[in-house]
Amino acid sequence: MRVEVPVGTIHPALIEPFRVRFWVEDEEVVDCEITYNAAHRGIEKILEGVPVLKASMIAEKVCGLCSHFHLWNSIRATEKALGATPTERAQYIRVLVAELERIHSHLFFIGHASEVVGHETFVYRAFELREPLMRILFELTGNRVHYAVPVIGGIRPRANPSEETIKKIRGYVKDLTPKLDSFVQRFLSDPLVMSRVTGSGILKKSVAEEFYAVGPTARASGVNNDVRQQMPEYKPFDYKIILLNDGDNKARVTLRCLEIYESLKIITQVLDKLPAGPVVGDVKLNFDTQFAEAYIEAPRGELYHTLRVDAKGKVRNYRIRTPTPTNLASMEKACVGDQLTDAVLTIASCDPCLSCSNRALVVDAESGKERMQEFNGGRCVK
Amino acid sequence: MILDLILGSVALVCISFAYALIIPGIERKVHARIQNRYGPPLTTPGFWNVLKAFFKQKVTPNSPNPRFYYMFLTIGLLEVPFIVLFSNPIWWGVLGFGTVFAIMGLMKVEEVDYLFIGSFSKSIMSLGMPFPDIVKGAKPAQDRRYFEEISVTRALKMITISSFPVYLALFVPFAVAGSLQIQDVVNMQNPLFSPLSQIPLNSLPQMLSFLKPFAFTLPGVICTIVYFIGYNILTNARPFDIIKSKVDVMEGPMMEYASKWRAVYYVFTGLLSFTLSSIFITIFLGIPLALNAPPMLLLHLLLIPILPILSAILRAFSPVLTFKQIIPISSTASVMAFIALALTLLKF
Amino acid sequence: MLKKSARKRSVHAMLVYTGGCNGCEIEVLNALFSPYYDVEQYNVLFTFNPREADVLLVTGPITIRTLPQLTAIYEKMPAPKAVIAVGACAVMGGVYLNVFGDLGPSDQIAGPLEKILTVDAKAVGCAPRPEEIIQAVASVIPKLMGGKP
Repeated sequence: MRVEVPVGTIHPALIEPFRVRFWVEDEEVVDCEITYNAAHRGIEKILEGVPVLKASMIAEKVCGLCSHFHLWNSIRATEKALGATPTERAQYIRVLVAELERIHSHLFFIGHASEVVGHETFVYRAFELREPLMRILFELTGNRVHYAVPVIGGIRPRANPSEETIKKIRGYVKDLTPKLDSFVQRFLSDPLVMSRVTGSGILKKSVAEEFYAVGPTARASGVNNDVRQQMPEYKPFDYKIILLNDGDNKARVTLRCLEIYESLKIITQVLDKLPAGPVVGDVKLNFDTQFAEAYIEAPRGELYHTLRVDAKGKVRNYRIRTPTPTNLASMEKACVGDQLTDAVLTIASCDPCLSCSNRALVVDAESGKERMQEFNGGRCVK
Repeated sequence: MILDLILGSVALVCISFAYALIIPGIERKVHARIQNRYGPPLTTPGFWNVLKAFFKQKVTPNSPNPRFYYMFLTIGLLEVPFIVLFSNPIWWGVLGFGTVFAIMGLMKVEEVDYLFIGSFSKSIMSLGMPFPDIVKGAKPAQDRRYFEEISVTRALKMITISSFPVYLALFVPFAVAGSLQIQDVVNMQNPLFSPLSQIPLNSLPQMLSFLKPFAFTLPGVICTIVYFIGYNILTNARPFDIIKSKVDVMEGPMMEYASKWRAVYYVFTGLLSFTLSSIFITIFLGIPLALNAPPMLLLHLLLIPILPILSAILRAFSPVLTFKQIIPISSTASVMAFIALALTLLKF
Repeated sequence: MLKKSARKRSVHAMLVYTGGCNGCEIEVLNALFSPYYDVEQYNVLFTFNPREADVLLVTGPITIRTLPQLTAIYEKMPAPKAVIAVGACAVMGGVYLNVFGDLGPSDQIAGPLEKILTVDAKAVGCAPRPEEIIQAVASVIPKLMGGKP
């Protein structure tokens, strides 16, 4: 007998408010619907007409776990529009902070996934590994969350690491590697946890490509879509793109554990090859630009910003496309066929981090025609 | 005689309440030390939680009939101490209550209680959340359920599937003793114990040398393991707490208890841990909670925290298991209990 | 006297997230789940059931879609209770009400928490550090001790 079980906006398994309705037949999920409009804050509306040097303050607050990536991508798009180039030392330091944040986000995900599986001890172990990282970032940039490192043309001079800070980061990397090894081995060899995650929440490669899933969610199903291969800032570094083929919850968790090792490799290379020089370049603000767009690989997938700067130096037509909407849509298909507890774990395993959802599909009920409508706050603008 | 019975029963109930208020603190502290941190003080999760909940404002629960909702919890609270009382020497001669069926019957009543409690609870954290689900464009609504109703279905499955091995393991010592009376099981293991005479404290070493606990024989070891799994199932501890797992149904049938009734619920869970540990020591180790034999009393009270501590260690290292994993585990436990029963029958 | 003692030694905290950027949730979870800060040793236990909670921690700017849920949860908590606003968004609206361009501030925000509930303590910062969150929780305990019933 089919019954419907709604999982509400406030729930221990979620860290952002969204609503999931499961249709369950004797503990097995047959259908699923996800609604995530509760976190809509109207960011693109408040960015319309803001002076270009102030827009970065808002772009950073879109997400707290990938805040550096949002800001970095916004600055890349602005620099492309204005025709400015950052200095080489600044590029390296931006990559350093980005990889440190990727480790921080993946460890938070492992802690959160352990909480959803129900294993309390692994949550404490994962958070224990994370805390020295947040203190290193605090010393490097001045804050534990929301680092605000890139500016147009380079980085903030406060975030320029001294020799002592570089030594501390090296010490942290050397310290973390054996602890991380033992934790990952313990995590992946625990029979009870692995019996929960193996074989549940399978996302087939065809479904992942049809719904355009991005990031580690798709790479765990065999889709090769890492945007870092197309970014020029990552060219001097040597790292592997990890692909797994199973597509179940275990693959998604394992992939993120393995990506932490690749990030540690990149950080070591950055610290070895860090060039000397200025951190802020000479920037000529040529306003009245064309549209510029930028793609970047955030910890959850592909992120896209586009904007243009008008003649008075104000930002116009800012658009952000975040990785989570399509990931959640593919999870709607992946959780069918599992037990209810495993389905909640599947939805948490795609690491949802909702930013403002910003698009609506208007369907005419009589004629059946559809058209795309942009939302700007409460008013609809065609 | 009757006065002795009443005074003894009151003393036993006081002992069980005292332990019920300290066992949650011990479990939480064990968790904390495994997780590399300090953890709350020993009295906070048990004693001070109960007192704080007792002094809060009275609220009406979201329930179709609050009186029934409270009544079933009261039934649960009133009948759990009787399990300890029936396994105690002062009640052995009363009306034939000192048999294995009395204990099993009361444990079954406690399990079935969850079904009734869950049917009367409708909290706002699941279906009652004020969110517009039924809008144009959404999938049509069909027979919507609260979390508590899902939890009740799961509790029914747990009763039919998972509590069978426990009752079987509890029955094996009685098969060895060849009788249904608890008195005969205790006398088989503890030959110097007699319920009628006073035993002084300094005869403890002599008693220990004559003690032959059932748990140290081969079928006894198997039954202890099965009983330990059953202890976790009956107290809804972490590997088997699918009816009230935090990440899924968020406390299950007990969500709407607030203020005084939440204090009653805390005491109820503590009492259950104490009770199951106490009947293990009485029936499997042969050391009853005898008020007129101080060495037995002391030994029994010292051995009570062992089973909760082992359960807390297991709880810290395991996730929530779904029915895909619980059914094989309980089938294996049933097979082990059958093997233990066959071993005892073949030896005679 | 027993009542005051009990209220000091057992505090249950509940977290309600209302659509923010998640930075404050990271720090609140750090305070609760990290062995470095471990707020359980100060008698503050974590729960997700409003019937059991004494202290409500609210993060995020209150979006209009999560407003009915926040007020419903607040009503279900039995007295004495306290509300703590965590983060710059809950305290004064953050960037959503104070930084804007031509089209005005965001109209999807139902305002800082003061407009909706009475706030007993504020932990400011973007994001506030775990020590400040623990200090905010400790500062509302006298209010709980003296509250009715």
